[in-house]
Amino acid sequence: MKTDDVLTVDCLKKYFIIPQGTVKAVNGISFFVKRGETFGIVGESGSGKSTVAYVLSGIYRATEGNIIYKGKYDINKNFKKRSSKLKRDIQIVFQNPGSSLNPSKRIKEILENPLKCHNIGKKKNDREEKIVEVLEMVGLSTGYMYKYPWMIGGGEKQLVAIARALILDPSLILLDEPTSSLDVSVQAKVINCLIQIQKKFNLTYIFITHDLSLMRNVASRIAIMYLGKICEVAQSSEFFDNPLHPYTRMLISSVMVVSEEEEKLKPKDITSIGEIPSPINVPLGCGFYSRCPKIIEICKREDPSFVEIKKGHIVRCHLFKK
Amino acid sequence: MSKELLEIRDLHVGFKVFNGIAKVIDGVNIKLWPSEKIGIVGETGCGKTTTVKAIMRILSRNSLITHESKILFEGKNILKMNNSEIQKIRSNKIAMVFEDPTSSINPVFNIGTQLKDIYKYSLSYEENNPGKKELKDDFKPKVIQILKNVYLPDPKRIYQSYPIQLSGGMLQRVSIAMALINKKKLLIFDEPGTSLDVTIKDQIFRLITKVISEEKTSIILISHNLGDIRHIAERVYVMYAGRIVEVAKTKEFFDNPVHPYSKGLLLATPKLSGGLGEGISGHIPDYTNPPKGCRFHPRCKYRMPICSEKKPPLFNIDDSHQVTCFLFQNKGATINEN
Repeated sequence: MKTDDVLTVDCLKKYFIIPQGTVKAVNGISFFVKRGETFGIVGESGSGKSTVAYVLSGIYRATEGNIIYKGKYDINKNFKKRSSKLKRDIQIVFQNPGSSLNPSKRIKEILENPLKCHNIGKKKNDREEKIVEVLEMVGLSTGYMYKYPWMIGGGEKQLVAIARALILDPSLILLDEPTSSLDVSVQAKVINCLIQIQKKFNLTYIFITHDLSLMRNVASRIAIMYLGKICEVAQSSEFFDNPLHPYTRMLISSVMVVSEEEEKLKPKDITSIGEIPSPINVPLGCGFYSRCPKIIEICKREDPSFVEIKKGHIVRCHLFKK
Repeated sequence: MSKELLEIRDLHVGFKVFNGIAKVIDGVNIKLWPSEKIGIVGETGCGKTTTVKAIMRILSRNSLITHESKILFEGKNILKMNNSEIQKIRSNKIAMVFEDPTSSINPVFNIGTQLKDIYKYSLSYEENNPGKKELKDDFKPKVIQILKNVYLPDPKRIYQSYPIQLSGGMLQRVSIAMALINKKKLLIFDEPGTSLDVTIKDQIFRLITKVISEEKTSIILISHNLGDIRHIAERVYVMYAGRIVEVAKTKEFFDNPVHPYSKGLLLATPKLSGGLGEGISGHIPDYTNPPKGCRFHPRCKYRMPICSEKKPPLFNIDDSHQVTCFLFQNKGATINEN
């Protein structure tokens, strides 16, 4: 356990019991996040990436596993009695700002609510000062304070959602597909704003998305999730120059790119086939074997364990077993 | 060159809304040659879907189309057709695949029944109308063959399943199968991959390219994602606020976009090799009261006084590359007459 780790997750599991069986949404994942970095989680829908964010933010209680925050708080153990400091410190921004902002409240009220909950700013003026400050931070004018969410565009709504997360001075922000409902021109603005704020306040982000080209530009370290498990973790540049896991290669090869230069980065040996199996009653062996073009005998029987290829680059695949 | 398959000439579409008339489509001109693939790209709400809905004549009741607007399909104006003529076009000439397969397929009938009905219906509108005897035929083998053509695994099971039992990717394949049930002249894809995962989208796009190369159908692909367009289209139409702002061959467009809006879009797209531009500030104008002159001028970095006064005409950059921007008037570009 290093001192600069903000978050260490160890063998996290989250199961949901439904009539058809057990949904193993997150099935034993471990990772760490360093201070000031952007840790990216990529995966298809149904791979469990949002569940991870919900567990970390305290919306769900994990079935098993340890989540240690800043070396001292165990998020999962004190699930019901989380200290208010911890609640302030970890904030989340959801995918769809249209449904995560209360449509009957003005932006000012939306931003004021977290301050009231945590007893920050005794006087009305203090709170208003703080609201103006965060609005400025995300590049919105103070005129927005008196508008309703339905009066403003999608990109601005998402900026308000980000402002709501920032207002409590958090140190870790979970971004759950913050731009997937936005147009590219607006997305670029929101992302640039996020990067600026991160530099200014030395924030740590966990960035969840399915868009690999966006991830390339945002994350410093990337983990790929498939069927509730992590397949590969690497530094961002290493990840795109030297992808190893067949699933990673499949993902990168299916990105629709806009220039010849990017076309060269795409692995040519793999084409995408099949789709993600249901996470109910997952079969034995590696979860990816039903779609893997490089399947070998052992894949169907045994779940592979992590192999370290280089420092900081780990992959969970039988092909790389030493 | 042979005659155009589809020509949209000066299309104006408005919608009656609470506070007036929203003038959404304002003078769109599009040409499509037989077996050509074109792409229409633009932000959400810039009128891409409205344009193709006008082709299919499936716009909502509060829409208004001006009398000068023309949509010529094989020389006939779609907008002036009567009901049976347009039904014939819809069942045998043009088909459309929608963005969200889960909401474009009827949830209460199984896949087989729906495909069978569509096939039967399209037969009754065929040129040499078949007798009643043929309509009573068993269509199951034909439908299963169509499901096989779109590479659906286990077509017999899918024939009996209901939409809820299939995944998004499979449903999108089913809706492509619906479009391909008989030979069409034109296929319209309205953001076919947007609601799907990258790997599934890749598969759907490969299916589209394969089917098209076999059947030599013309295609209109609509997307807000430039990567999709580059993948499939031969020619690109960039649309902004109900107007075409740039037309170019795909390669030419991605190498050298000229309109400030196209440039901005391309820059804002995150690159796999690293690099993310600034994005375009502002948003799509309010259609009930659109800006005068060029509709992009409030967001444009290079705006000049003339931009807010006059609507820019289409300037020729070269034979296949046109742009509607006054920046090119000064550079000696000629006005496109057609």
